[in-house]
Amino acid sequence: MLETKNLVKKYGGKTALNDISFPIEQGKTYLLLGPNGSGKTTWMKTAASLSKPTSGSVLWNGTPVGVESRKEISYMPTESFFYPWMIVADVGDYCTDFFEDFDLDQFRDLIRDMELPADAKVKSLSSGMNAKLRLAAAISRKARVYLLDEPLNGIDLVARDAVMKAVISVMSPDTAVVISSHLVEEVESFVSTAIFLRNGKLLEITDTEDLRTRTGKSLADRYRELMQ
Amino acid sequence: MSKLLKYEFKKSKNVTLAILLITAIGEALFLAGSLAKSGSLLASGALILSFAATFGIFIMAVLSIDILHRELNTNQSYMLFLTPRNSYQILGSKILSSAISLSLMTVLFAVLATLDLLLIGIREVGMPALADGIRRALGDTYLYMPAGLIRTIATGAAISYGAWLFLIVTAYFADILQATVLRSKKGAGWISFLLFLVLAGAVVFLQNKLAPLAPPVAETAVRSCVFAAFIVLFFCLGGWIMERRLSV
Repeated sequence: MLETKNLVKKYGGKTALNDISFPIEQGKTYLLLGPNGSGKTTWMKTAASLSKPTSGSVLWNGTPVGVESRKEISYMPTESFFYPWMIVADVGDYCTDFFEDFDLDQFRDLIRDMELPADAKVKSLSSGMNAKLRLAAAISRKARVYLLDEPLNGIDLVARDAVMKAVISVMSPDTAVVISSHLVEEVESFVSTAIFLRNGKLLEITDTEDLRTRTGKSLADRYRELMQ
Repeated sequence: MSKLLKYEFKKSKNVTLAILLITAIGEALFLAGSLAKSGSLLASGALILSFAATFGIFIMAVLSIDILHRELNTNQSYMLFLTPRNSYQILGSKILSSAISLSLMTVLFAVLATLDLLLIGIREVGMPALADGIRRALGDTYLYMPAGLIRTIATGAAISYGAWLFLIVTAYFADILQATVLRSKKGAGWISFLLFLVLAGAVVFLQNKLAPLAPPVAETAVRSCVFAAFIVLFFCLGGWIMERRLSV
């Protein structure tokens, strides 16, 4: 459904993604792994059609990502991006206005479960609360693909369970979920495929179940092996 | 498009309300001064209204350019570019909201100025004397040819409106160039500002060359057409560049 083909992205003289290719298939949950600066966020932004490739492409059902793919790909960026004048409830209204697949009731349930006050000013939220809000906005859509960039960043240990429960709730045979996270142990149990990136290059695509049964290693072990 | 437009107005809501509030204070002082025949109140009101009219329109334009700049260069861009809307719709809604704001502000201040001047005139000299004064000030030509007066006001307004909107759209275009083809280049901000000055100057130069070639009666139309053509050109080029080059 989402195909990355020979993707290259350069910023000035720096190559953020260097000729990477891999498919994202429905019914699977992917974990994008790599150290800082490995190209995880750049790939997500390109797949979300926020960033244009230098060469190569990310194809959504055979055509380059763009306005049409945005209707079916939901992206949770790692940075805060809401308008500062908004309150939490405004974010739900905004998404309702622009995304036909947005479920406002689900958004309201999520912000209640995550203890986000609906009338709180977005600019007054802590980084953890802002991350919860971004996640709630992204997963309240009935999208085909969810791209979640560091969904656990800034979220305390207790709240992580609620966040992970929310992430798991969007997994289905019709959807694909791509998560980028440094917290490998936290997400390993429900990830089907791991994609390892380093310095903008694709190192390996690993089936997590296969890795466990064949070598007895965890994803964290494999990560350490590859990145050392 | 209507959803985009709705949020464009929301983004400038606070500044618009501040300008309206200042205008209301100025108007209240002016009316109070007029009723109480207090020169100082009247002068204060007139001064505030003049400032609100002059700077209000200017501030709204600068604000809209600043909003576009932030939405091309900061994470706020995701709010627009994650939505299933193309660059032409996004840029078009910004131009349209600026055009509507400019129209409403112009009409508001024109109506207030007319009513306030009439009020003062009536209070000072009475209606018959005021009408006579207006007749003498405008001259017989306009008295017997009201269409001529209307045409003069309308062409003046069209040129001013077109010029102002053209400057806003040119600034948008320069900002788009800064965020796309000039991105990561040293001094991109200054280069885009210089581009804005050069583009605006070149279009006015072209306008001054073309307008005298037309018959006198069509000169204003030519000037307006030049502004309109470049507004459309910069919109199309800006949208096209954003579609192909903008990475946020």
